[in-house]
Amino acid sequence: MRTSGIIYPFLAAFCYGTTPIMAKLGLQLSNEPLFGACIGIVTGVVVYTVYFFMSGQGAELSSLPWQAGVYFCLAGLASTLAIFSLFWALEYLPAVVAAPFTSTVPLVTLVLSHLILHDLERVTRADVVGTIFIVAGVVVLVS
Amino acid sequence: MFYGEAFALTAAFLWGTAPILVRKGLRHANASVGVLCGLFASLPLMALVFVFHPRSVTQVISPQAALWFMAAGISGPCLGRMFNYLGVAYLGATKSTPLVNTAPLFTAVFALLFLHERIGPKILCGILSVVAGVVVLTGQNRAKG
Repeated sequence: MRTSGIIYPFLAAFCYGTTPIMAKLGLQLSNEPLFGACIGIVTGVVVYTVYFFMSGQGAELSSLPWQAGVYFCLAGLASTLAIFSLFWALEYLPAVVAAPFTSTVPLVTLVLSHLILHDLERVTRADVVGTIFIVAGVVVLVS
Repeated sequence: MFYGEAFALTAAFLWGTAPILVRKGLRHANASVGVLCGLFASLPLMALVFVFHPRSVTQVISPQAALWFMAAGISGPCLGRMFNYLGVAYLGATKSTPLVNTAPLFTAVFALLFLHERIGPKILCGILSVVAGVVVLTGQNRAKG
């Protein structure tokens, strides 16, 4: 594990933590969560594509191995379908009940890492303990 | 009868699977390309929503609301995903994903600092548990140098 990379998950957490606040402000004006999510994702695609090509990374695409493309596309689809699943869940459940379920994401990743990524990553006892503490704490915070 | 719970668990499973797929893809390419591929793969689903939604987007979304949704799109799917994939690239899926999911901790701290909300015993327990988890996860990093 490289020390220099620790900042990235926290930056992601900061971005993901502020996103619902902006989405909520939008929903107070127009209560259409599905359209709101679509507008957000399409905007993300446009902005990121401009950044990607403006920063001279276009050549990376031409040398992209197909296996990586498949994995990345599946990851993108999984994330988007997860957003839709959450919206459908919220049609049946109040957010305060749905949130603890979605807080278990790190546990899913932990188990799948152990089962699927054993050639790339080793799940340590500290990983398990740290993940359980974080999930428990987040469940308390969101419920 | 348990549709809500089933959909919520499906969302958790899908979000938990994404870092695994990203980690697999990162064997062959960098995180930046991964974000672009993932975002473009989502576009057909977006198109389906726009086509099959019973109402037109311009009928139900005000321009001001659209601006907030666009800002959310830059923050979450664009920047959030980029940092998330970089975290997986640098730390691995197992260590990065729990740290990414500390987002509610930021929300609680912001609520304390900017909204001057009171932190009750329950919230304090949650914060302490998240911080303890972060210390355990990042502590092993320091121990290994």
